Amino acid sequence: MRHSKTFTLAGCAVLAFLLLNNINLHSAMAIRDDQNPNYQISSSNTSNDYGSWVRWSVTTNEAFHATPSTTFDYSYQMNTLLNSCSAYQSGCTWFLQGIAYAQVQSVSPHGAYVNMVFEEGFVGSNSQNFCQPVTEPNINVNSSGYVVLQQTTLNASSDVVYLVSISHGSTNDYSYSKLCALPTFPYTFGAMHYFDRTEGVVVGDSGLHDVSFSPLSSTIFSPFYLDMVSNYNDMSSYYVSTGDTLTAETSNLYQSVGQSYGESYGSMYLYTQIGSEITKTDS
Amino acid sequence: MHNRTAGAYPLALAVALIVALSASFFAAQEAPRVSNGAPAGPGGPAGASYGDNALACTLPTNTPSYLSSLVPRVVQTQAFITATNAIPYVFDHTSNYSTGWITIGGKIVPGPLGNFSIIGGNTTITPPGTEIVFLSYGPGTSCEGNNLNAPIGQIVVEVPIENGAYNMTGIVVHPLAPYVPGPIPGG
Repeated sequence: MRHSKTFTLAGCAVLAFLLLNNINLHSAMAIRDDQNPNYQISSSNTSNDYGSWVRWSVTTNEAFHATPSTTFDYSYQMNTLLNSCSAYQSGCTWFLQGIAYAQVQSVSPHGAYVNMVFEEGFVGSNSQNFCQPVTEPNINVNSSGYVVLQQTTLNASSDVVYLVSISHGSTNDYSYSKLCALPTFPYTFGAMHYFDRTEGVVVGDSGLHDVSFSPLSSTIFSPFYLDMVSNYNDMSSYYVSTGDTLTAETSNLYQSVGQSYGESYGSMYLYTQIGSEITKTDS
Repeated sequence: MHNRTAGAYPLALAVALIVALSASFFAAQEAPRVSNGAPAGPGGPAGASYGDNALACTLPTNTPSYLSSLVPRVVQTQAFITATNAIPYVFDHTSNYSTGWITIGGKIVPGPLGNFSIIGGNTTITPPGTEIVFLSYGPGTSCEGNNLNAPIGQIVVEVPIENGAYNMTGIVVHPLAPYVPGPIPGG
């Protein structure tokens, strides 16, 4: 009962906070069926912005249909350009990548056991991964309703806080967070100052996988989450129609060609919401 | 973008306090900055050698001393030897990390600004440490790796730091598929 009162109080305070105060956060929203770069807004930051974060989450709508003959390798990626890098090919030499691999551990008559492996990556001419959890989640996510969330917080010029979570409903199955320095040897990377743009990508490797995703919230324009949202109600048809296509960029800030595979891409854009200054809205 | 200045929003501070008090963790909390240094401990000679599965390699001469000592010790652990499955692996890169946490179970409670808290569950605080990544290019793996072929295997080793020294009995070895960077933004 005492806990309940605490949470009621907290809830009211949160509501009041949201109503009465300016909200200033770095986040991203999705634009359905719109890949036009003109609708994508870069961060206006030009200086250090430590403490900013990007978050991306995906909810499975159905089980993975893995079989013993399936070459199963599915990953969820959150790619973030840093500093003033407007595009990877335009002078940027690296970007940050939070990545979650879905891997089949075993397959039985009752179905596949699919778990997740997480890591950050710093991608460039010498791509290197880092920030593995000490203990991997050993949870079978081969079911609908699993939420896989990743968050990267820019802590300082050379380190990030990586947070991941697997949950279903309000139940936390596994979460971990760690503060990690960028790989330091033998390669070094430049200083990070602020996030510029980000994208969420789902990658499959054989074109045979059959899985679909849905946004976390009932409206895809959640003001408080960087949700990766799918424009496709059923990604299986996407893969069937595209044969050996490896990549489904369900929401992408950067894809300048939006309909390579006969489908429309979604877009996400960074924005700053501070009450009267909402730099981008969509309906 | 504007800086988030908590002092300018006293109500926000109050809310943050309430939420913090009623939750086990606040997802976006910031941890202290990672120290690049590893334990000062006995450093091996720069360019120290290490080897596994009939492979004998020498680390680059500019290898930090703590790595020159640590890498040869790691490849001699039973956990690493078992993970290699008799296939040679070569040192690829390293990074350091700070204290973290893992929570199994519990309830997720949404918080302000899209953060969330976890109530209950079983939480383990993980110590700081050094992460070392080894790659294999197959039976013909050389000490220089193989730039012509993609790696076929990866072993990630977490070596915890406890009481100011590496705890070799606490290392965790992850045999994984090779890291494959995803599509290039703008690509």
